[in-house]
Amino acid sequence: MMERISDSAMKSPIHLDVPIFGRAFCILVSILCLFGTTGCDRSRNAPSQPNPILPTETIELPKETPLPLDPSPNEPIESTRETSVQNPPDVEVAKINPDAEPTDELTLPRTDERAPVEKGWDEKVVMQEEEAGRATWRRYALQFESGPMLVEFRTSIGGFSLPKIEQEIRSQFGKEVFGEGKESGLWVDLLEHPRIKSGMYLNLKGETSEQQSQLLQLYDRNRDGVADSRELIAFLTRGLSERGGFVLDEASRYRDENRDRSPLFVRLDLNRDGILDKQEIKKAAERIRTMDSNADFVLSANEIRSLDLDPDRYVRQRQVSAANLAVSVPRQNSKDFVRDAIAKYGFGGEIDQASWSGENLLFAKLDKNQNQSLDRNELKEISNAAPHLLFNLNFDIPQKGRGTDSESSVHPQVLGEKGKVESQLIEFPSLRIKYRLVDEVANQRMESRVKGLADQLGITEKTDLSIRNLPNQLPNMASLSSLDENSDEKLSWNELEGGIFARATLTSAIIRVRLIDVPDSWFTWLDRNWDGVLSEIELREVESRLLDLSTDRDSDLAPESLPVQLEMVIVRQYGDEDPFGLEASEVAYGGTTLNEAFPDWFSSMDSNGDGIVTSREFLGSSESFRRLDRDNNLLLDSQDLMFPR
Amino acid sequence: MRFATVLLVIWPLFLVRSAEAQSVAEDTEVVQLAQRIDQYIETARVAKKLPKVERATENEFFRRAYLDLTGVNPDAAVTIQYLEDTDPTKSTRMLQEVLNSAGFAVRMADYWTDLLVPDSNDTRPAQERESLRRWLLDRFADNVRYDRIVADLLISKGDPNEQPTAFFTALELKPEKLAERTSRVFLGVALDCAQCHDHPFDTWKQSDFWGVAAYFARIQSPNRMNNNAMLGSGVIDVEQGEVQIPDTTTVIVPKPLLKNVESSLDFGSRRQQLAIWVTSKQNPWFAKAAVNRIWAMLMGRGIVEPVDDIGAKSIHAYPGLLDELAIFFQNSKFDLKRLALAITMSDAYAASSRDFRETDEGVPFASMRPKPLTARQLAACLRQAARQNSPRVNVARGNVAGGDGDLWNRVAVQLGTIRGESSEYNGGVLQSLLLQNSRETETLWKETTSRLLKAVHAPHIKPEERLDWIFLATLSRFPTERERARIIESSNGLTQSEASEMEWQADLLWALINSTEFGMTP
Repeated sequence: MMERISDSAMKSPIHLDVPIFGRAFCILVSILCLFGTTGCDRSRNAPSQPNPILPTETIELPKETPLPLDPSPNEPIESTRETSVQNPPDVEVAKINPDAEPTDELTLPRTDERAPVEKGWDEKVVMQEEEAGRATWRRYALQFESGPMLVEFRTSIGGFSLPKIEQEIRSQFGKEVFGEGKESGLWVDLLEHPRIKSGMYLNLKGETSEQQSQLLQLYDRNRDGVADSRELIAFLTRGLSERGGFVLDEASRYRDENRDRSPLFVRLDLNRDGILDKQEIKKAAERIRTMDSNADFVLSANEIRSLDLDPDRYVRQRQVSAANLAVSVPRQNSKDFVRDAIAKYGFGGEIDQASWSGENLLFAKLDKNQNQSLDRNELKEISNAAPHLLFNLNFDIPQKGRGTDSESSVHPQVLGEKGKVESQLIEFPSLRIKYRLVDEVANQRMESRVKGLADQLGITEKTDLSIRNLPNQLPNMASLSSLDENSDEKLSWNELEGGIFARATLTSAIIRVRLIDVPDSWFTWLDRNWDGVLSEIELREVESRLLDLSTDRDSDLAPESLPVQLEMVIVRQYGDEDPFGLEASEVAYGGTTLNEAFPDWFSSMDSNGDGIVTSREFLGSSESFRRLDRDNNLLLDSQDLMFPR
Repeated sequence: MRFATVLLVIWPLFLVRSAEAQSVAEDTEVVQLAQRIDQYIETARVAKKLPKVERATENEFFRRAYLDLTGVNPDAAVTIQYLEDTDPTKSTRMLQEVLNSAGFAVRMADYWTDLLVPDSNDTRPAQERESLRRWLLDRFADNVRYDRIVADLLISKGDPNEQPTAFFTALELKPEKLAERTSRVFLGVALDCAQCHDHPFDTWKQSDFWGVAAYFARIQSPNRMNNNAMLGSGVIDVEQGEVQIPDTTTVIVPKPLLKNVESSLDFGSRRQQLAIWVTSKQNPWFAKAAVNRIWAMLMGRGIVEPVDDIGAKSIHAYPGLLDELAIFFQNSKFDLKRLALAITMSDAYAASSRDFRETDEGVPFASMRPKPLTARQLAACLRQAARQNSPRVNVARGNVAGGDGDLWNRVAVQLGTIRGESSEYNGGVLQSLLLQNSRETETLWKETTSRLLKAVHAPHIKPEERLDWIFLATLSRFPTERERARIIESSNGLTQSEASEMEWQADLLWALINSTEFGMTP
């Protein structure tokens, strides 16, 4: 889909196409033009230079003025497959042949020819419509006091419109870009806005070559004038590699093919017309239940995948599409490390330019417990495998919109003895990333190492070791005296543990990152807790979740309606142990949902192992069931057990 | 009663009730057919002056229907819910719900897969067999009409790992084997006796056999086309190929088995021509064979026996009944669910099996024949008692659920090599050893590993109720008072600690799964 969008945009006069993040509905918005900023100083702190062309550099956004295409909330949304959105009276509509050369129609008026200043989104709108593949694009040239702005977005996918996008733009643009309550801003503000810099929200198209260059540099690694999803990934992971980020290798090509032939989508598309209509969405859950080949009342990925009759293919393709990279963090002393780590990895939009250079501010930010020292836990946090990702991806993703599960939920997993996985879901309108960090592998090993050394040295939690007369050097670790933080010439358990952890953290880290395209995006979309099966809870949500994808909850779904879904698996290991001992795929799928908290009887009643005891699986009276079913959802789950009545 | 209040809510299997199912409830044709079945049997019974057989108990009927239609015992909670239901139409409603569940589709897919690619003859990789099963499952889940399924199967081509061509590859693409299996499975005609000579007892000639075999003469494996010695990589149609009667030069052209059926030789591939006449409504064998098989699956034996040889010389219990059922099946667009519903709604299906006599004294189906569980049914029931419905598989490693890695599937395969769908009990020593002593079943009943025992020791289950739940989870019924008294007596002194209580409960569980009752459909 991304490629398709890019292609279409490249044919348009607006040749910069950037993938978009941010608001749940916004798929692609390019602000083509704010008036010239030649010579503009990009520094936020620098005083704005008066623009010789613009009368003012402020952008005035309208208040509560509806977009002309915004349907009245009381009016039913018509079936978009049959009708296009009504044009406002003062909108000129022109169909564009995608193959045609760019026309002058989209050439924005030169500043000296600019139309009289008018306010309002719906005034002097020039609209163009372009069809590219199954998507329809619409562009508005909007007039503001500051000059014209071109907003470009996709209005339909596979024939259904996305009217809420328009509403979204209108209602959110101002406050998201310029801040709550502000409706105007400077071009430089836009460029420097963390959301824009980090790719979270709007993507800007500068009119001047300098502006274009500034934007392209954010994303466009291959300098082809288009920032695509690969470059997005590279941008997001730019702190993780000395080469400046990871490139999604074969995945995007595979992804498109795969998404079009999702076995689940094919099975849900009862009339085989390539689209899920409302009736099919309504029947989806029931249809999925019929795929329960072993009648265990839970749908595994294999059950659905094997409908495509070649489950191995997915494994093969996953292997092909996995990008496998490693980063080595060299030994540093802690002070240098902190500084270098910040400089190297950055903190996305969390730390501004001033903070970067101000060591005191930085220190204060890192010193979470404000005890004026950085302890091992704080150091550990800094040296986390992917600080950039953690900070950058944990943006406060707006929750409004289509009501998906965009919260960054944590799903702990266990991987046998190998460690614990923390998973987070990062959801953008066009991209959904499962982010899994194997965090406990090192800790377990380090704990083991601490214990081994403590045994060797005869240190217990109650017995300190005098180091005055001992050989000073520990094998491969550090000098004993360097661990003696309070300089009492004794080594306590805490000093040993803290010292080894801190040094090991700084010694070296091998980070392994895999980007895995989701084999069956539709299944994964419905499998909210990523345990590889669709449980009863998830099955009950099928209709609602599919409707969520349909932006107005009333439209058909095409294969490309689903956000691109990737799994980003980050495995971190320390020391010289085999850095590739843990397969990313094992992290992604090999683990089992953490269920240690379940009592024996519960796990035993849960005969299909989905972490839920349905009334069918339950043994006991209905009174018992009702008493245990705390949330009255007719299912027993961990929440019910955790807070029994 | 201890379970005066029981589960009121039940897994949405019962929610998966389609509009289609509800309409069947008002289907007078189905009801009338059920009555016609009973008329045939009742007439014979009265003529023989035999006493009327009692109806099965609610427990027996419920378990029977579940085992026959889904291949597995009902869950304990579902049993309780059924027994507590006071609606007089609950049995019909239950039958409709079960027929519309995924369980029935699974049962049908397993049944026809076993017929088409029996385990004992299956030298193909398990994946090929599984692909065929999945293909069938998909269609039965959608309630695709039976004639359509057969036609699609007969003309299928491609890789057996992706297409339902395991039927062809398992038989090595040999026309004579395919002719024999096709005629037996889909037409109920044992044509193979005419392979080497004219049939000694029936009307089939050698040319009839080879006339059917000729329909399969123009298929090949793609690898054979490429001179690759390795066979079994799929099925394609080719332009040339004939069959000859062995030891002669006589080339036989394709010929429908019955003269009154259109042969449609003018167009399409030979397999397409075959599919057309095999599934034609003018072909009486097709509907009769299917009806007779479903009847045998539900009633323990066919109206005509053997089920794969319903020729003129075979024994017909009620010839008129078979005809009526076949016509109904045809007129209902070969709807297997509707057929099964009609049979299971009959009084004959609800008859008790307690007084069954092998000879039937000339009144077949006057009482229900107890059916030993098939290998698949037994494995499914063991899996259920073990409360291990869904062995988690590693997606990354590409394991297929229900594949070779599945313990209970392995059990089914082991048993399947010596057991068929016949109602004759032939579980034999292997089954006994498996249930009594094997490591596979030990995990099911042993106190340290049994998930069922751990489940019944949940804090919300009172100690005196545990016995009930063990019975419900294995035999789908409460213990009788006599059983209860005997068990309590034998466990006297063993319930002082939870550990010792679980020990005797483990013994009880072992006894239950080794009981005849567990291994039979009542």
